[in-house]
Amino acid sequence: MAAKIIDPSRDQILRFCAVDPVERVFLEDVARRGQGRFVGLAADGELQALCHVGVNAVPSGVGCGAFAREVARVSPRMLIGEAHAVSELWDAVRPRLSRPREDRPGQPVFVIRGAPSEGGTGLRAAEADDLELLVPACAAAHEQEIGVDPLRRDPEGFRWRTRTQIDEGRSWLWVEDGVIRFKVEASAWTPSAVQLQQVWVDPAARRRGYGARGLRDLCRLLLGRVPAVCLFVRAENHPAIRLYETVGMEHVLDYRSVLL
Amino acid sequence: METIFLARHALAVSNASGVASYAAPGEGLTEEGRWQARNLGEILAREEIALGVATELRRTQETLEVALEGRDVPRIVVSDLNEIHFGSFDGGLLSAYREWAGSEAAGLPAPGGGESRAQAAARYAAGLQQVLARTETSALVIGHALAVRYIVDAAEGLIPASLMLAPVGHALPHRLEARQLEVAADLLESWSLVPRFRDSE
Repeated sequence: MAAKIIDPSRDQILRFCAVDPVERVFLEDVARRGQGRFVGLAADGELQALCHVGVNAVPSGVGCGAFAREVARVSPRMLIGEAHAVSELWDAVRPRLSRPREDRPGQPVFVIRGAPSEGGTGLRAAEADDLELLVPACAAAHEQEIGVDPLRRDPEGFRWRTRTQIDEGRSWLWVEDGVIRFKVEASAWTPSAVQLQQVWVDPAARRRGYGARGLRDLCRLLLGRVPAVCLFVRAENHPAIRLYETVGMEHVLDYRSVLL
Repeated sequence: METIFLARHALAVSNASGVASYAAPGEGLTEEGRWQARNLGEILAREEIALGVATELRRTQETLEVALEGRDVPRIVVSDLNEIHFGSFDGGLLSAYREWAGSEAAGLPAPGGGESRAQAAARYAAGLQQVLARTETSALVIGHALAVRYIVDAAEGLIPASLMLAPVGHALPHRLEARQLEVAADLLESWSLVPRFRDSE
């Protein structure tokens, strides 16, 4: 039976994501929230590919070129996801979208499943009182990852995002003497995996091993709740890649981002 | 796209009778509404408008037609900017929907197959993206009250409130630059995934 484009059910999405819960952690998180706009490619009732279609298009699976029409209609500002899926989609949709501002192939995805050794830090979940300390650090980390200063672009919206991460229990930090020795947020969270973003150490506290110690303690904390902790990073961010390898994270696949 | 003028449609028959009207095409403008739409055209007479954007609802298309009368401007329909789906409230009194909406969570769809405010926000973000991707440099976008309120607030970094705290006037333009629209689209989509109203936090 030929595969066809469908409006997928939540159950179909969750079965699809269960095949690779690390690669598909964002898609599963959105589906579990009961939100998001998805399009699927299905044969015999099972998804072989899925795409979240929004400001960012996030494809996954085989045959993602089939989503070109739906994605072109929305004109996303970024395609992001597993590299082959993004490439299939990008090849198909490229004639209908604007020239890309940037193409970031080969962004390594790292995962850890076994608890690393203790870091002996004061890592803790962020609280509402941490907001003022966290906002500039989160903004700096965001600018480092995305290349845009969110406090210039959308200060109120960024404060809301940072506060929401705290409220949802998705933000952790280690502070001593008012200096952030380590902080990080979860960008997606499912029963199978947590995806981290915006790993940050204040410049004044760098090169002392705080990042590795903080990440080890966070991985230990999270691996008590989920089987895998993952993140992805820009291919040229060698210090971050060394940090993740030091902690024991393994490079398991690549993402690709096409910024439009 | 560089600049859009975003306005709610002019007064429609359904507004005058206080009826919730989601389904296309819906009713057209009242006489007062046609006057409001002409007034909108006069307000924008000196502005460059390279594209007209309406939804699938007749009241937005008539507003656009009247406001752009005499101008040779291409027009498109962006269904993602359509009115929120009121579910079983559609065709009934808008006040009944508002009473329901004022006490329910943002992520809860309206009963009877309707949309949640979160779903509508994600759709508006997608609609904005479609307008932003156009090659024209300016547009007049005629939408609906909820979309206008959500987009204008989000352009200032404000997430949605449970009820529209400030009324959205008919056929009054809001000038927004592309940078603001990108901010609005990002924020509305982000909020749609974590939908808690700003007045309930």
